[in-house]
Amino acid sequence: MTRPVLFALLLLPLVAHAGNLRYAEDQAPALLNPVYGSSMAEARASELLFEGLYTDNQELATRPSLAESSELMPDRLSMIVSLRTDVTWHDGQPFTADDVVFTITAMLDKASASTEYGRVAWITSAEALDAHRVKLTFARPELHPEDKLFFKIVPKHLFSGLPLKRSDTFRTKPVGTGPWRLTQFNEDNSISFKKHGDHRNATGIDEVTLREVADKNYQAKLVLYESLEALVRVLPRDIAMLQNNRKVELYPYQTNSWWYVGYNLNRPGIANSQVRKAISALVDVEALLAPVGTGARVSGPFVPSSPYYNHDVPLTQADAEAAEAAFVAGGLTRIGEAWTVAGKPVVLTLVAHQSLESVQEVTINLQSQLQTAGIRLEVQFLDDAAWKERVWRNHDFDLMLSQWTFDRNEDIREQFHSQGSRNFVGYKNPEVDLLLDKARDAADPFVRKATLREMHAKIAVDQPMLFLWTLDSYAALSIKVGNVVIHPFSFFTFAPQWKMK
Amino acid sequence: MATAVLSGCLIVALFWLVPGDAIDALPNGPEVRAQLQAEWGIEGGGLGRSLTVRPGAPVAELVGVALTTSLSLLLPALVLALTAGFGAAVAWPTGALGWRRGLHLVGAGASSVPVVILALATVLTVNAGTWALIERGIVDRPAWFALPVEPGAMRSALAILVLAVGSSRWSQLSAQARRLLDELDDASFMEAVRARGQKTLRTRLHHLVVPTARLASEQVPSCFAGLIVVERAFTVPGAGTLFWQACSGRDWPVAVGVALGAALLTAAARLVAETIAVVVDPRERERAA
Amino acid sequence: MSPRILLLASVAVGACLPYDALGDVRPALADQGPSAAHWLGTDHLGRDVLRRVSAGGAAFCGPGLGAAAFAALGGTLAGAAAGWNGGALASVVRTVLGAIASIPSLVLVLLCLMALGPGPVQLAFAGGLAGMPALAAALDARITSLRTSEFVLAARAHGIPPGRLLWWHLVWVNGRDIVAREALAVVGSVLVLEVTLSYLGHFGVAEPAASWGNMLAHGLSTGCPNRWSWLAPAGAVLATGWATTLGPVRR
Repeated sequence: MTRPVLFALLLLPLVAHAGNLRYAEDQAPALLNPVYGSSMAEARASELLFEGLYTDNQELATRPSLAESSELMPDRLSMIVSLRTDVTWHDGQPFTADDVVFTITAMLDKASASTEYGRVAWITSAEALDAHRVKLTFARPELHPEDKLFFKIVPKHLFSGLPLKRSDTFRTKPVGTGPWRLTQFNEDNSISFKKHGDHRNATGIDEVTLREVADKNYQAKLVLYESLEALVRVLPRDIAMLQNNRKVELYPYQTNSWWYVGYNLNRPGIANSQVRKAISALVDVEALLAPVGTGARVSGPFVPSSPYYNHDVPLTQADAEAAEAAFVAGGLTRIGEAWTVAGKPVVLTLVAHQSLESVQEVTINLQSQLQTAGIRLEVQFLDDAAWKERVWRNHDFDLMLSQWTFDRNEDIREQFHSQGSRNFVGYKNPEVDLLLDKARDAADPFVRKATLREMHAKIAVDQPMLFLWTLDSYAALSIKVGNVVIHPFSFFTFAPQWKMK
Repeated sequence: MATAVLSGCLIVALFWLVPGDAIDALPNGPEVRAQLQAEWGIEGGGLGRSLTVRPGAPVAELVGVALTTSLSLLLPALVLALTAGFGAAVAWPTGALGWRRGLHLVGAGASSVPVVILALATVLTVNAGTWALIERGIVDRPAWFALPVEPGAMRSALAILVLAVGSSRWSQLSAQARRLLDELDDASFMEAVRARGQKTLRTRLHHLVVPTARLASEQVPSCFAGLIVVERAFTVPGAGTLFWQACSGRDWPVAVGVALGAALLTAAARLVAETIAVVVDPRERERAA
Repeated sequence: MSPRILLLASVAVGACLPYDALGDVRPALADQGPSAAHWLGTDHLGRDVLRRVSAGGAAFCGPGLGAAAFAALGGTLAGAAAGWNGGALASVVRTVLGAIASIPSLVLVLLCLMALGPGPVQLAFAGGLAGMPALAAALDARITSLRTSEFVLAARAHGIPPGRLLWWHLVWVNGRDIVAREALAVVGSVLVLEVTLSYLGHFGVAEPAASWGNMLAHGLSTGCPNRWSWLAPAGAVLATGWATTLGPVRR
């Protein structure tokens, strides 16, 4: 009698995992309140728990989610959204227009300090016309406002009013309308989610478990060991290992993210366009990319698959002679092996965000290339908080190495407009400002495309950044998970359709 | 008490020098700096609640839970290290060759391996080896294997072993233990015990209590330092992991709380050792009086 | 000459050999196995592994010796002051050093490096600060025990100046073995710290400078095709660690 019991006990770990999708994050979310989302881990977890008025379909076109339909007013300054009537929160309360109004108001409320303020800043007011209709009023005319209504809705009845606080108890007891609900925060920082039985869409996965695994290399091994069913992003060095395993499937997906070296235009030397041109001509970008992974080079602030990418703008090429001519035109003098200014060798400081994978390989290669050409580059790796202080607040750098990631809207205004809040390089071009304004206000999508492509060309001439590449992304999932489609930004948007075999 | 207060001041002073603050750790931090400063009291040195690791959670609660988890590794590791140290002292090599010398060298060698190498090598080897056996069908998948659902005795046992071997400076510990035993053997009261024909074990044990307690208290800081690495390698959510998360997120109340907790733990260990000394040894009582 | 000294000397020699960290970057030769040109192969950036291991000793020698010097200087001053004077001064010194010692060394070093930024000088300072209390306490105990001994009393009676008595007779003649032993332990601890900090984050010696810590951290986290790229620095760390911590039994 003992033997079968023991055998069953040994099998128990396997049985317990049927219908349980386990995935890893470098750090478990600190809170699960989408009003205060600050990391991709939190965004992915929010995708399981919450829903927005609109979402993407599998062709990445907008489709209604909590909304049923909408009507845009002729002046395009307001719209009325009709909500679904068959939606309940995880605690059984009905989803109503008050929840939408509350969410938007909370995100706009300065005292609440929401991280999502930028997503709703274009909405001036939200009003509940009745239990299932909301009127949204905009700051300026909008052509497709539903494309910007993806932010997650939170339940009004679980907050005691405004302002919201990051420390509200909702952060660890979230209640959403999503296909999964929170089961518990576990002692080992893992988080368990269970299928929300009353959701209108049946899901093929009963449970989802988020495990915290700080070591990225260990994450890939855990997929091989069948301790995890999903890996959100496979590091380039692990692709070959996972590709050769017959129990794992790799899924490529394209993100709107690109790497760049930013020039601090507030520094007198760097502000000289000849100097920037010369530095860009010294860099062999393909050689920088090779050890990092596979991807596509970019010549401007969009990925090549973007409709706004201007394919007529050439990529920068390494050209030592052109670099030399540009340095001379920029007033530098070569003394021995080094380029000098006023008799002193040129020394540039590059700050790099240390969380970028392979950042060390890229910076060392870059240092080596520039040193060979006579420019000394000193590198400092910064974590997130130090990065915000040095780059965002103090602009204390000569060059910076980082990447930008955009959602489907690819709104680069904040990065390149002279008044942009993310314009850390200090780029100022009135013509580009006008083009950005024109693109923002364009009603015709073709006009927007043409405008942004023109802007791409102008930025490529000004060179406030050396645009590097966009990397290919792969997710790894166990073959036990079927019907998989990956959303490039939120990952789990189509997870309700996945099935555990 | 003065020591604990001073160490707390030192920790706070160092943390204030670290570039960036908790507001910088937020994506929209710069835009809401003024408001969050008022709410969190950062400029004024607000204390008591976590800022970014578990926003709003009381630091004392967070640190308390984490320290309890860490103590479940630390205390057994200390006991193991002391046992191994005294065991080696009893079996001290008497010549240049022999199994005792070999064992001593192996033990000393193992304990001088940096704990980070020991921890990573253990995790990688155990996982790879077990997976090879599972793939070949030699064993069924054990419950403790690779990121188990429950913490499990196996993971804790490995973590304790690595912490004991890697952090305890075993070779110095065993040398100190050997010195204690030799001093004890040479003491005049031991001669008197032997002259009376009595067994020496009880007397030895009685006189080893105080120095053992003092040795144990001296090991606490180095074992705690090893916890940061061991907890990360074995994915244990203890004080070491919490400290690292707090440093990354500039959650200085939590980081200061953990560091203070560690300092207080060390102070408490010393206090316990000195209390044992006063209770057990009449000479210490007289000195204290 | 003992094997320990030989090993440490060879590490020091290797550290002093010139090494151009950036000039050695050759991506086209990445991850190659051992060959006649590269005895231990190359790493992920095409750099010669043997040369990097040999140069890697500098990353620990420099900060290690710096930390030892700082700990020796500070610890000697503090230990001598406390041991010689006694009384209130000794209490204050012992309390301050006790406060530093009660903070786990890795925690203290991590906080120092986060505040000051990573770098060899900063690592030397932080490692020395962490090692100072033990050295000071050991010297303090020695001087305290000798302060009332007969030869000291005799020396005082003969009119030997207190300064000479303290610094020459007590610290140098009778205390230098303690200082040397504890300083050597600091060197060993800096090695472990550098490796640990490289594993935990970017607080060890930063690339492109060669250090055993960053070589090991990269190799263990990525599983490089050329295993020598992390086996070799692991061997160097183990050998040097043993050399600085193993020693003859002292009674």
